[in-house]
Amino acid sequence: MNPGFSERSTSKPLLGLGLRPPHLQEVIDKKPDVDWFEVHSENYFYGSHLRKYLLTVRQDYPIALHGVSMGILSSDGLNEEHTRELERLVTDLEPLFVSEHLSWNRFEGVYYHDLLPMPFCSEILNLASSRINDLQDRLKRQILIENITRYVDFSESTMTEAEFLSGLVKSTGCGLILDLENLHINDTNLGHSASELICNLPLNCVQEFHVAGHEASTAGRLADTHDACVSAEVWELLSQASRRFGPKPVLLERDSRLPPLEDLAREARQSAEHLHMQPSGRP
Amino acid sequence: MSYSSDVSRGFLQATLNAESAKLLFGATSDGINQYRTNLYHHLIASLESTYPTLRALLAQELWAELAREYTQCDARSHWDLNLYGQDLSSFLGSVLDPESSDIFYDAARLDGAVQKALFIKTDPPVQAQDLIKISPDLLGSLILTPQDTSFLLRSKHPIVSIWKAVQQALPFALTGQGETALVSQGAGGGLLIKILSDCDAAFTEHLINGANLDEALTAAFAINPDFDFEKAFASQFQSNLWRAYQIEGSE
Repeated sequence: MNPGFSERSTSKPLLGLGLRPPHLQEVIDKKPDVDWFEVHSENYFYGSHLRKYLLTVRQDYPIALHGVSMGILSSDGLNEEHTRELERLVTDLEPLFVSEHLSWNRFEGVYYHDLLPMPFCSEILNLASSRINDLQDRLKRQILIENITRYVDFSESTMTEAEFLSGLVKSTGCGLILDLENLHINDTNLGHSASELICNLPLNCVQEFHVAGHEASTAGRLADTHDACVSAEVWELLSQASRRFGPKPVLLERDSRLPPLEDLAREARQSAEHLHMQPSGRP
Repeated sequence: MSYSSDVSRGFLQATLNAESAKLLFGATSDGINQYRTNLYHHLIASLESTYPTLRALLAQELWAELAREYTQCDARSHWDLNLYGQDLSSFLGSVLDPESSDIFYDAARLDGAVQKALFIKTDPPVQAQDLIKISPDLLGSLILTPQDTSFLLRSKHPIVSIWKAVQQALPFALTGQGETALVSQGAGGGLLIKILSDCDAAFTEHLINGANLDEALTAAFAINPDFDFEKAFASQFQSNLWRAYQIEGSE
């Protein structure tokens, strides 16, 4: 362990907050009352001017690295430069978690800057397993994979999301971030029961929960905007999930319309009210 | 062709064509609209963040048109949204007359250079003490290679003052004395932006463009015989401006 890291920065954390660049200096100055932070890995690659701030924050808090641009399911393959930069950042930060989304973002050399879906079927399960194994080998550690928001269902899917994620955990040893906001959106927009998915995942696979807010259209469809407070439905899903999987670290994500840091920290601490400290194995 | 390639191609076709969307996604095909919205939203947000000065100078409608047209034409060959839109200044010609709109070009070029200095990786810098080993009679033939983040902009407008005002959300004047901006990435990864005097600008510009030290000094002294060469040269090394050096004519 890096001797520059304080005791707090290596403690076992629970209540976490997504740390965005506008709040870096304030976190260093005020040291808000949260247990840990998660950042988007790509903002700290290369010669990013933000890196020095992050290294300072790391002295006082555990930091998790959450990738948004790797596109592990892209048919073009993993980008070597991206992987190398992530490897470097992992070495420097000794992060609490390293995570990626179950999505693609590149086709024939062109980047589509979004978290795009693939069908749930054996061909994609094999592809995902191979990419995750490669990445874990490179980083020499377990990575976590996050379930994404899906706005369409592929007619080619031959398994449920829970079956797919369970298969992935089994074939790679990766862990999961269970994004409860994404489950809620998929439930509302596509009718995929969030509770059912929580019930059908293996007990020991979830390492982290994500919660966030969304935007609702007049037609009742939800969009994963991360620009609002967490809804009552998502807090309820957190209760259900923590009853089943135990009190895993919870991360509040907020990416736009950023409120003051103090308000975000308060909302992140609210997670504690929805966490069950004694898992029952049932939702 | 792999299965994931086929799926990706089908997905992208479906974002453009309702019939393809129905085939691939059945009753949920309407959801494809959200992906179109997301893609556009992310690119526009990235441009807005990279080009605050240009955005502040352009009327909202013109900025929106420029951003929309750019996102439709750009090839998006890099995964990092922090570096998206680096060639926006050259694209400006499709919506603005270069002759009458040079302030917008200057703003775009300065914003783009600043973003590059904030996010790309530089090589280990040449330090002033590295040059001590060069024989004094060869120093005039010294040629320096700039970092990818070293950028000099001569503007007829007070472009750095405008940039600074926009950063602090303060009002700014469009008229005033022209400024020459020097942008670089500091050794610790931070942004450095300076306004150069005319002779310092000539000296630095010559070196950035590959002239040797003698030629750069001749240009600077022609403007100001009292040019403080040592101070200006030392400042360049403090600004992490150079990544390599050589003596002209040597291997």
